[in-house]
Amino acid sequence: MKNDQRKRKARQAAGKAGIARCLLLFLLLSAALLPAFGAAGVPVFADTSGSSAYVTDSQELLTREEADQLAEACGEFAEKYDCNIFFVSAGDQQIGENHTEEDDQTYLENFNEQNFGAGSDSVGLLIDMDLRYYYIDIMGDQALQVFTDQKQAKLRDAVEEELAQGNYAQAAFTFVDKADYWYGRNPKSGSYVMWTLISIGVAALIVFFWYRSAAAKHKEQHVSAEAAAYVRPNSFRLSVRQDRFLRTYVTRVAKPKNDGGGGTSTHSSGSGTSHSGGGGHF
Amino acid sequence: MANQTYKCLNCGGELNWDPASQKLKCPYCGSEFDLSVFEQKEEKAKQDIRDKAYEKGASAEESGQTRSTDDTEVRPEDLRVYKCSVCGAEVITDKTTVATSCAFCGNPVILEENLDTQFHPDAIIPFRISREEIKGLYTQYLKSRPFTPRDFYTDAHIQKIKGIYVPFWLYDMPMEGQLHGTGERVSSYSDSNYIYTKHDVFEVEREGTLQIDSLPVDASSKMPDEAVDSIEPFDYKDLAPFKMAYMPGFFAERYDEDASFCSSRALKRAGQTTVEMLRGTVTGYSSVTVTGSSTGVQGGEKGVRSRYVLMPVYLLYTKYKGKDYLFSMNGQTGKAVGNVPIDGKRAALFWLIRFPIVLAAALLINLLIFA
Repeated sequence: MKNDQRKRKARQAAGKAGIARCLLLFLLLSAALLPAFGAAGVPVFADTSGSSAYVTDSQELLTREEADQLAEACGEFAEKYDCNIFFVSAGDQQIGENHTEEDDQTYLENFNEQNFGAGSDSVGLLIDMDLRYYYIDIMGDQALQVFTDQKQAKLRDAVEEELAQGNYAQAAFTFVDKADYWYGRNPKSGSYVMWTLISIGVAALIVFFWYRSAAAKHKEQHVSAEAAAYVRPNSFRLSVRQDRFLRTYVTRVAKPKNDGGGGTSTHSSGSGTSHSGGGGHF
Repeated sequence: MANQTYKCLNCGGELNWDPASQKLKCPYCGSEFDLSVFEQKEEKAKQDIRDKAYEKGASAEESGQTRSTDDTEVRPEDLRVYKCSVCGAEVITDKTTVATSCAFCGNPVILEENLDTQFHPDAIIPFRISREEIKGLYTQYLKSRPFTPRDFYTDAHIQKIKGIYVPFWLYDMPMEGQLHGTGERVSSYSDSNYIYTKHDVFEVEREGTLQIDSLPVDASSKMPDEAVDSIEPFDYKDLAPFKMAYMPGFFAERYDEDASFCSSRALKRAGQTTVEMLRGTVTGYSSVTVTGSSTGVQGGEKGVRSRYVLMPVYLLYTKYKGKDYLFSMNGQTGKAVGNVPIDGKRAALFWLIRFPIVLAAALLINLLIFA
């Protein structure tokens, strides 16, 4: 009897040590993974030569002050949403003599890809005083998702309003504000807290079903509701077998069509990257 | 007082039915005897039963007893007192017990009176699994459950496994049934604007017959149905004409729920299977709705044939944290089924180990996708 007691105590102690070890492992793992979540939020692009690459004002539409403020606003946006936003003013000198609106578009798209990385989230505004044309370019999966055609139209309306009144600097600020507003309403799917919670929930669900199937082995007694095992082999005879046609009816389902509300129309740039966008005269 | 015991021809000790050798074995000198050796005695016993008037054991009330000594649960009015033919002690049991063991000397007590003509079994499946084997099977079953509490394993507890011959009614029923319903066949086609689905609706009718053989229903109100149903099926090849010789060493009960009472249970099960077999013939539809069905025995009540048999079951009653658990095992095939309680500590350990690992994996996947 004493032996049993001793064995029991040894097993209990071993069990407790095992539990302690598991808890330690868990804490270490979580600690190791947590920093990774903070690390991924830094904007891809770094500041260069005082005039940040967020603001490239070749046509000098902004004062020094305005340029700095705008650059700051762009920096904040990028920090917040992990998406770059920038402003470019360019004309004949940068794009070429006798350039067209299409060239403006190409210029902006190339600028975007070269400065911020092809395919990464980035939105930009180009103002071309020579053609009195502006263009807004959207690039990157996240950005394309947020800026649907409808939202882009509203963005363009807001910018056009300012441009029409000659408020070029204000147009740029409005651009960033509106972009911020739309992006803010689309919580970034990379919201770490949300996904961590979802992971915990999914993990709990998985272990729960795992537990259920293990626990099911603990309740195996059931009353028999049928007698299939006692049917004399080959004794089953059908005496009546009737299948009589009654009627027919047809149902239909409309085929889904593109209904702009949630979609973003895209096209490929010269390098093959997906872009969306639009522009207008002012 | 007719208490039946079989005595060893070599040493005179009480013989027990040994499942391993399928013979009567002496636990003292080890001698084994084939059933045929005691054929004559068997005949005499049967003759006695037919000749004598039904002899009751003295009422327990008259003797001043109030509780059974062989741990059967019973109402005081049903208590009966018998004298053990070996040690003379008084065994207190109930009116349905046919075989038990003396609480004082442990020797088998077979109570013939409880087996008068009406209660004489037609056949019996003798025990095939010995006590040693069944203890092994029981332990094996427990080990295969993930959260068994440690207490269930103790040797002292396993000793309490009881081998009982449980009374059953075996029903032979020629069944007939009919089924009505609707079936739908669908096909689809489309044009540029819509996807169309054509539904052809059919009225379906089926009628058929089948034969049910030896459907078992336990005939003792003391035996919980789910414990007994779960260890089905029994192999009827071993069904032998009833002999007392199979009983010593085991407990046995006679029925207290008669054939017509139990037939409703049999009918339910047979009916269910009949409907399922008819339903199985409705094929070729993408969806079927059964609108009505009915089943019955061909020839009505008279079409039902029933046999009264005893079949071997091992039982173990366990009390854990105030709740009762009954473990049952088939004494012929060894099939073991039970409701085993879940040990809270082991369940908690399960979560404590698996949850952090699964969570870490989930977080890792998260990292890989979003970083």
